[in-house]
Amino acid sequence: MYQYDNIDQTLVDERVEQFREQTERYLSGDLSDAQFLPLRLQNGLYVQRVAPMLRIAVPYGLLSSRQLRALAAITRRYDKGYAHVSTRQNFQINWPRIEDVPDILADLAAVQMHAIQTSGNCIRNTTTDQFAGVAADEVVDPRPYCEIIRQWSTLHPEFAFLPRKFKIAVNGAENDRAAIHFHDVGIQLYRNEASRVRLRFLVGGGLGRTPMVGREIRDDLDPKHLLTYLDAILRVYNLKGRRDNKYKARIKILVKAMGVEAFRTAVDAEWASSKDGPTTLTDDVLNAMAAHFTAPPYETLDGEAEHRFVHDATARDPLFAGWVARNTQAHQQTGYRAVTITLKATGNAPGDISAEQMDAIADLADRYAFGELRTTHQQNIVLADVRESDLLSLWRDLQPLGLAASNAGHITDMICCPGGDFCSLANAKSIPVAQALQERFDAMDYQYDLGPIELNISGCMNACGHHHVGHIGILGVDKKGQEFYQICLGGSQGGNAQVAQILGPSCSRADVPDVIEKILQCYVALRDSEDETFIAAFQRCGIQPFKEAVYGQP
Amino acid sequence: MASPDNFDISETTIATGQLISLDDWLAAGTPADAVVAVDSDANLDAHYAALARVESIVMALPAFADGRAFSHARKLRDRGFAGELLAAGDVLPDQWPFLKRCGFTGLVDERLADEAFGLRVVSQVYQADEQQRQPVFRRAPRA
Repeated sequence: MYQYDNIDQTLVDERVEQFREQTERYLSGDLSDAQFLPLRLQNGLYVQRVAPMLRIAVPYGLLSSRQLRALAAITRRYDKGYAHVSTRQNFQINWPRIEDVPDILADLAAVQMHAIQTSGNCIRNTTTDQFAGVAADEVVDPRPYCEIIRQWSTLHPEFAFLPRKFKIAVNGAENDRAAIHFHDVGIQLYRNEASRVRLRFLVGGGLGRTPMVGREIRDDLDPKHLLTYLDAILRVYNLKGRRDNKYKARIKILVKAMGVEAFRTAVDAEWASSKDGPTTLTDDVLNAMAAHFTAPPYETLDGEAEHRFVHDATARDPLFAGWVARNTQAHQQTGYRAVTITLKATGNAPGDISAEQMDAIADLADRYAFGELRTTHQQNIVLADVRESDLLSLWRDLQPLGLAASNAGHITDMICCPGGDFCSLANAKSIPVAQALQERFDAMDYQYDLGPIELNISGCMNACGHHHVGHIGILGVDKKGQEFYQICLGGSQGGNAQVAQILGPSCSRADVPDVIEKILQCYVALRDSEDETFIAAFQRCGIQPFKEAVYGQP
Repeated sequence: MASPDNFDISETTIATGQLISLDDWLAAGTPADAVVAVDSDANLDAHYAALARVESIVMALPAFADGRAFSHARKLRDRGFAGELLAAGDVLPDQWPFLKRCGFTGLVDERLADEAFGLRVVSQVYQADEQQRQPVFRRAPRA
């Protein structure tokens, strides 16, 4: 993975001291709340419902065991001994003291981490496929491009005060695991007929109050133009995006208002002044960055023997077989698989991870996965490079940690925002809904029978829990001070990107598990075989049978 | 009004009393020997080229969170504006390093400038900008 050089290290170190001074000015009254606001946000610090929240960047979800141990130590020293994995692959801690934050940032900088631009109206953490570099369906490794974007976007002088936040995702595989259709800018990497890497740009996708699927703005772009083209998009947005209404300030509203053709024309006009200028990348630059993401020292393995080991073990133990089937992924390297450790055990707030679990996973990463791990936008952890014959011992090691749940991609592996328990924006709580659903659908046999289902929960319209793209989405709404929940169905974040449809009137929190169960029963009755997934059955049958199942005959 | 290096108010063009609003300057036929006051929330699409010829521009931010001034400045510099570019209005002292990198040469409010120029800064930058003409990847080999 990428290692800081002197420039990177000096930058984050000086940024810590700059923020320390800013915090001192705020605490001494020299900076007002309003003035301190963008400064603290651009260093990851929110002031939340019950306490500040610090969001720590995990660039494109990649981190080392050493970094995870440092995070564990930070949560012990400054917080309550746990952290939360966010849907932007970042870590959040919920109980820091404002005056401690500069010290926390210094501890992060010591392990090449930071909280720069994890919040505020600026370019946020770039996200990508959690299986980048190892996925069997990968065409181009997105990580070097993500790091190039990270550096370009970090303390970019022109784009620190945008109309609204700006999120970029990059995907380099055939299947889109980065939800590029739902980002301000989504970039698909592919190879053209001559096998040269090319970029396809989508713009104006997003969730929130106005969910939209991104529109293609450019295809067949040479990678050398990556940054100048991004500069042009951002400049048009910075100058023309709405600033009068924060709910209409995202780039998707601008693209819709201008029309994608006019937006493209404006970007091209802006690009003309920077195209082929100094910010143009070169083959040498791209190759040097790619050299930071070389494969770990894989062993040359007998694929048949590795596979046989797993096959025999799964034949003996159906629980292990279920975990291998659901929580491991095909790998580019013979004899290896990528492992998903879900942070969704029943009774656990989705995405929460204790300091003890962090330390233990760091040890497992060292033992089984070359000391590297990834966070996922589904709020899980991935060990990307595990030898197949190690899977059984890894699974056994995960059990005493409460991390061996074999629910990856299934209904209890839900995406869930922190909701009204923590977030000052939320209209309703989301974690208790998740916990009620985990309890209701805890039985693994039932989950396996249902097959893969993505269930996403957001506590408000801002959609941090991505409810619009869940196969089943749940949105917390406030009705005259009462919490209600609106259900939507049929969302899809991948290649066939779809925004979910609203099922009907909202229900109380207590009724959510019953409503979801009716939806699942309806699916089981509708599916044409056990192989037809929930989303496939929904796409074939539409929403009407589900409406009838929940609300009765019209 | 102040600029960070060897500032002397008597040497700046604003002291001559030539400050003119964008509308008045347009009405006067866009004379080059002017100090034009521009609101950064104005649409300058039609005026960058003409503005690039003037001696001095004072650009006012309507609110420090409104970042259009940063892009306006870069567009003016892209089009060859080589004059003095001062930021006015609701400017946060902490914005000075980014304003400077985008092509601003100073701040109109002297007290603000004094505060801004004394703050800690981040010395390393990744991007090409008006101070540093090459992005990090085109500078000396990285270690």
